[in-house]
Amino acid sequence: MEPGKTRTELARLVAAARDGDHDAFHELYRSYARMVHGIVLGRAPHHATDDLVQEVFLQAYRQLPRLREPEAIGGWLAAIARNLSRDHFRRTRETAELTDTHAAPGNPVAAAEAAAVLGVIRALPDAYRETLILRLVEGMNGPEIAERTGLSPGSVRVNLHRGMKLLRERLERRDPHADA
Amino acid sequence: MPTPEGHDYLWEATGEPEAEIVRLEQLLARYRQTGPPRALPALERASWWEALAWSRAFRVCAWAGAAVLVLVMAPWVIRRVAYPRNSCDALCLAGTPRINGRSVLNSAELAAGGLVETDSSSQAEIRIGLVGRVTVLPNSRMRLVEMRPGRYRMALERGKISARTLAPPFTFVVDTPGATAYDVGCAFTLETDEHGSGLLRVSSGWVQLELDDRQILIPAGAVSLLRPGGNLGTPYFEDAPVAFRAALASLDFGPQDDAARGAALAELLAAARPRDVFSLQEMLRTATGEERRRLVDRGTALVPAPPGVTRAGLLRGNEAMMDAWRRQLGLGEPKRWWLDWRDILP
Repeated sequence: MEPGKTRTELARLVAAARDGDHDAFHELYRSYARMVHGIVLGRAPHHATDDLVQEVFLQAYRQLPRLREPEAIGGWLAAIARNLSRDHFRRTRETAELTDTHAAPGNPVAAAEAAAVLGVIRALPDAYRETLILRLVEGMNGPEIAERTGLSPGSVRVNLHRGMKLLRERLERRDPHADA
Repeated sequence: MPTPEGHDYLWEATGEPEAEIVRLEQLLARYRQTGPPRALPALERASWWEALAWSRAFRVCAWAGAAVLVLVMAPWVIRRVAYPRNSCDALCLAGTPRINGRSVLNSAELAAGGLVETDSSSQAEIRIGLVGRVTVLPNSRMRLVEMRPGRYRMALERGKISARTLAPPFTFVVDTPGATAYDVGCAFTLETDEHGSGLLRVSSGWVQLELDDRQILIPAGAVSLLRPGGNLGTPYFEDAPVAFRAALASLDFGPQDDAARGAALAELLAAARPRDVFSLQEMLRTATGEERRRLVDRGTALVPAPPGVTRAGLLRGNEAMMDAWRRQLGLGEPKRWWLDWRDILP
């Protein structure tokens, strides 16, 4: 469930969107776009994320009548995001990493380092990769990640800490003199 | 990492920050989605057929329909593919076998009435769908007598064949001048001359040899001799002692006076191993009087009869008791032919 929205409100929004209310669906889009963006970024190059986020929500709107439990909207959107970004990754496997390195905005040195760190996070197991990107890239806190993705807070907390430990080890292995 | 006070910056994203995490947040913030998400283009609902295809009920029905279709069609498909209707292929394996009177270098179609002949340097193979394969070895003459789904009958007029089959019992039949061999799901070789002398050797499964009203089931590893004039030899295991085999040949085809038979039987019983009780049990089908008593006594000494089977019952030829005693040999069940599917592999 999205923070700030009660269970009833969320159910009403989903039901309205299911009945064809575009405004209700746009509200869901605004609420969940950041979470979907993070999941997509874990599997697809940065330059493709905005398109993929749009595609996730367009597909979600088409399939919305299939969603039985309104409270499950977060997990359901996350599943669509995973599938679409996985398909995209399969289609563009060869160019994904290179494109990201060059596409990282800002200072070239910092951009290169950011791309490298993102590459290390992307190489982590699925559960760690998603929670770390939602936390470190999208700036969501643990409870928020749990509510948006439909995972239990306990799982998210474990994933965050184990993922962070693994990330540290891999970054140190990559560059033993680096601080992070 | 949580502080001693229980504060966990990684989890809460507030309070006293951890330098390493803050550095990563700042570094990766460039990938963050900032501002409102890009506007969505026109929203469209799935068409009715897409919605139908996604529905669980539709998918369950589709799978159920497909399963029913497969179940209905499978017997028909298997019958068409596995059991050829009118003809099968005869392939040249070596030299130039003659098929239907013509020398063949590659392959030819063989229908009922067709003839396959090989000379000293040629071999042919008859492929009968999934039923099996018959290799016609050199110096042989083999005729396809009958061909229809469920019944493939051949006549080996002379020579030798090697057959590998996977089919329900009695689907594949080979006549010879001496006897008829019924396949019970197996691999075997059969040889004969024009007069009916020959040998059946079973390498897997079971074969039933039949002559007039006599029927013998022969298991893997056993052989049976065929002799002209309607004589079927008692089947025996090929690894039986020489003395056993010689005595058995004498009993089957040698002098039949009491003294000669008595001596041969004594030699046979002395040389018999537990495995050879199979032959003793076969002899009991026709043995009478003193011979019968000696066969039962020696046989049960080598392979004890199970509880409930009595000496008197065996001497009387009680079929249920005989079957129970036969099962003690552990030769398997002829009816479980489908377990011998490896036999049809080359």
